Amino acid sequence: MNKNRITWQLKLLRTFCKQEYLEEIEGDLLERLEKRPSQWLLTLEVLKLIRPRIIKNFEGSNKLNYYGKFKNQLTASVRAIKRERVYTIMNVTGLSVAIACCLFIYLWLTDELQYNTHLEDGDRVCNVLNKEVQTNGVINTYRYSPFPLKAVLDAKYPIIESSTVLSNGNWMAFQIGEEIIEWAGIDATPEVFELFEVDFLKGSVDKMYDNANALAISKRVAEVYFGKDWEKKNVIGSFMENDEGEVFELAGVYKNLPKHSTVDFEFVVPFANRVKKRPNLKSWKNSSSQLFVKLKSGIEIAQANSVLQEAINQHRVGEFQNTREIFLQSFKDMYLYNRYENGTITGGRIDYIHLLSVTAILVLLLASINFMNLTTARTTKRAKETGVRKVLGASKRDIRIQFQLESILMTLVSAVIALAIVFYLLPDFQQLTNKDFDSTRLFKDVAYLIGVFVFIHGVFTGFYPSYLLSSLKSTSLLKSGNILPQSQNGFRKALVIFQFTITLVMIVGSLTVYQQVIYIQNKNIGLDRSGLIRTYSYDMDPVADYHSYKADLLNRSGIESVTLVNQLLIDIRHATSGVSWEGKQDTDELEFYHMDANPDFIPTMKIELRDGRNFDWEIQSDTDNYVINEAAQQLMGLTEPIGKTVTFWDQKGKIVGVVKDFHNASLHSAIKPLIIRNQMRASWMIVARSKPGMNQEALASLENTFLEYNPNRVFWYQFMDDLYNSKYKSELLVQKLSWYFTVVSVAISLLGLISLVAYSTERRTKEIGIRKILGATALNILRLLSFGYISMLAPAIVIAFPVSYFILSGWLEGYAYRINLNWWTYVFASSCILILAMIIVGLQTKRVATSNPVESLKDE
Amino acid sequence: MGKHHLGEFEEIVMLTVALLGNEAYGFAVIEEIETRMNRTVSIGALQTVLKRLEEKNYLISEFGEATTSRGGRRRRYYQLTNTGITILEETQEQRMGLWKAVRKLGFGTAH
Repeated sequence: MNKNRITWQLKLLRTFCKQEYLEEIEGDLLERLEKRPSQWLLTLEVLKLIRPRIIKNFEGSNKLNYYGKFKNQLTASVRAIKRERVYTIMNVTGLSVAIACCLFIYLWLTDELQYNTHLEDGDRVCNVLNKEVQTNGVINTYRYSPFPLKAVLDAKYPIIESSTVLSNGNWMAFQIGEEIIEWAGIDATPEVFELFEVDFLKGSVDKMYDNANALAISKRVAEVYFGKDWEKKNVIGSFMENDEGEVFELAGVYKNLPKHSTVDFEFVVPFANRVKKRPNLKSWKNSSSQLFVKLKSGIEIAQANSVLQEAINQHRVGEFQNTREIFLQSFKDMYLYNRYENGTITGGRIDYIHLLSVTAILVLLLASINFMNLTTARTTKRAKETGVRKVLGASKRDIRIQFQLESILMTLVSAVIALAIVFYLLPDFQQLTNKDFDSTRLFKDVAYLIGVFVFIHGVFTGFYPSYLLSSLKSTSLLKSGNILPQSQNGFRKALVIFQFTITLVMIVGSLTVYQQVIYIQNKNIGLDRSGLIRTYSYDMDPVADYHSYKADLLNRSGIESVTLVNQLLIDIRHATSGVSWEGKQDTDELEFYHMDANPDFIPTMKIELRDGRNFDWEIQSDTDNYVINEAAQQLMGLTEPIGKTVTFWDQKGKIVGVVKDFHNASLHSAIKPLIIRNQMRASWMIVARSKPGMNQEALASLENTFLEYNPNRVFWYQFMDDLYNSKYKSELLVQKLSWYFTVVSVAISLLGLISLVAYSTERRTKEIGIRKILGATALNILRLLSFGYISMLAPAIVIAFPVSYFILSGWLEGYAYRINLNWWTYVFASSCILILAMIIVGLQTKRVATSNPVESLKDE
Repeated sequence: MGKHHLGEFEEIVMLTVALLGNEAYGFAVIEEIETRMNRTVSIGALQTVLKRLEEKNYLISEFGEATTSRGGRRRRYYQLTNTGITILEETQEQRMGLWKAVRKLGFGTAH
């Protein structure tokens, strides 16, 4: 290595280090480099030398003028900023609020984008989705597959490296001391650990293959069950008995799954165990398991889809009339792309990510436009200063640098304030979004981003004014007056129009989102969901204990009625094509959703019965009969449905009643055709209705009755209203955020308007004085000054209409049930802006319009 | 007394300079501290302290002969001044006084 070589690090050192220290320090650095030859270390050492005692003073260096000039420019900038205090405050406030908005969205966004990204081979791990192609053209899409498909995929399709089947969830409780603690786990084939890259801390996966009563638990469970010092105990091979008396042999303890994983489980029971308990899982007709596959590396999903599409149709055994295709979705995309229609993935959470990030950027754009407009307006007032500089020999470059530095400085101040805002409001934002941000880590990310932003934004917004001023001749600068050419006014007007267009679109947008959310919340979904409480039956026998349970519960206070079902009726998931009915065409292959209920169901839910009758406890044979909804009647094509025979799987019965359609799925999709069976064997969900205003009493009664059947369990419940609202979390978040954004953008646009009006009015003081002397009234002046600005709103309104219509109708199309876009929303938004603008312009110009012309004309 | 307080790092640097005698130049001090105290010291940190101590008149320095190592750069050797030695002694006395006072209370005698 050449010792005399001057590396760039040393060059850097020379730019800031005091001359007299240079030789010694360079020597030390070189010696250190010799001992530990690392360029990185050298760079670090040089950077660490940037200390007050070591760096050169700004003044008194060899390059006399350079630092002096820089200092003078800085002083001039700071003075200018101070002199125009009000504008500076407006400018900085707008920009910092906008930056804060962007930062909040950035925080939220990075958190959302983190989901399911933790797998090393995440590209190759895919969820298998099923498409049921019906004869009426409607395609239903599910995340669930038949269990036998796994064996077929493993054996017949070499593109698949491995696969695993997961149950939809398995709740298991273990007694620990006095308490019974319940955990959410899954039944899964042991490949689940390989696919989801879950490492074992203790034990191994092997036992999970051969013992159906093996069990793997997460570290979290181990810590609770065996104590914090579980690692020191010999836990592997020990037996764990759950509250139902089932004994499991502990095969292993695995690492807790990361927070941002949609697949999460506290324990794993071998899927074989579940198959043993429910032999009908082996049937190709039963699609209730989640299937994940890992593709061999180098296989694209599209390629795999074309190979796998017919996997079910070709390999299933038994008699089938329906067509079922499969396709893959990568694990990475599962969280963000969670909506599918007619067999294709149409979006989901990703839409809100796009929506909110575009909004945040628009708000920032609004603030930047303000910033630029104001900076331009302000710099024109400093024409004389620039003129003097030029006369004294400043080059164009000097002038440009000065103004660019000034806007960088202002941006920096705004960014710092924005960070403070974010820091201060972070707890509220966390509550709003229901997320827990790792703020220190995120702030580190953000610091870098902000640095880049400050530079780019500063340079960009400072470009126009600095270019303008540096290009003008010093004589015209010194003569002052209106240095902005007329053509530039057009550009600034265009920017203002653009601002108001965006603001209008935002107002209309948030009003529409608000209306849709209100519509969702107030929609009559065909049943009365207020006062409904859901809890679980657990150890209670659904058939044997129901009547005594019901009698017991109704004896207590606050309960109006109760029923027992097997699904959440506002989110029905079970579907089958194994239904035939009187009058069914041979070619019909149609799917029906179904749920189990009892005769108390319809009255408790207050669902309206349109035809026929409800199930009856007194009629023994009623357990074979069915009640259907209108959608199912339509799908079956029956005009006289009552009394028609229906064969559901192997159970032959009659339609005894038709209920009016109630919303059994989210409002994004149409009401599903539903068959209600009168059965309780597989039911586990208790839904009770409290008497009006007696929720507290009802809860106490439910808990007491619950404890009689489940003495060791913890009672828990949910209100149907909350369950309903929880399906629209994204909407509720967007509704709130869109309000904040709208308020911010309106405020920013108005701030911009205020300052622009103020500037132009100030510049026209003399003109107004002369007009007044010549006889103009205050009203004339007011009209003269405000007309220009108010008239700018007209094109904004015209442009905003189609733009917002286009965006919003697209958004609303995602809902099968939605509001119509209202013309009055536009009118309301436009008049709001118009009135606000008029007030502001009026207030600003009033002072000038009513002032004594002598004041304005005598100065100088 | 009382007016001058040595920081912990300042004290270490001064002691190391004393220890190294005629060989006390920047990088040697760093190496000595790093091996003895088992902590990393950046050149920036050391230089700041050296310059400060020199300004306070606790150290003096002069360039050595030109060498062929270090890319031809001369070393700057540091030495304690009498004021420096006094302040070091004062610092030690103060610390010892404190230690003695603490011992009387029984702290530190347990082991």
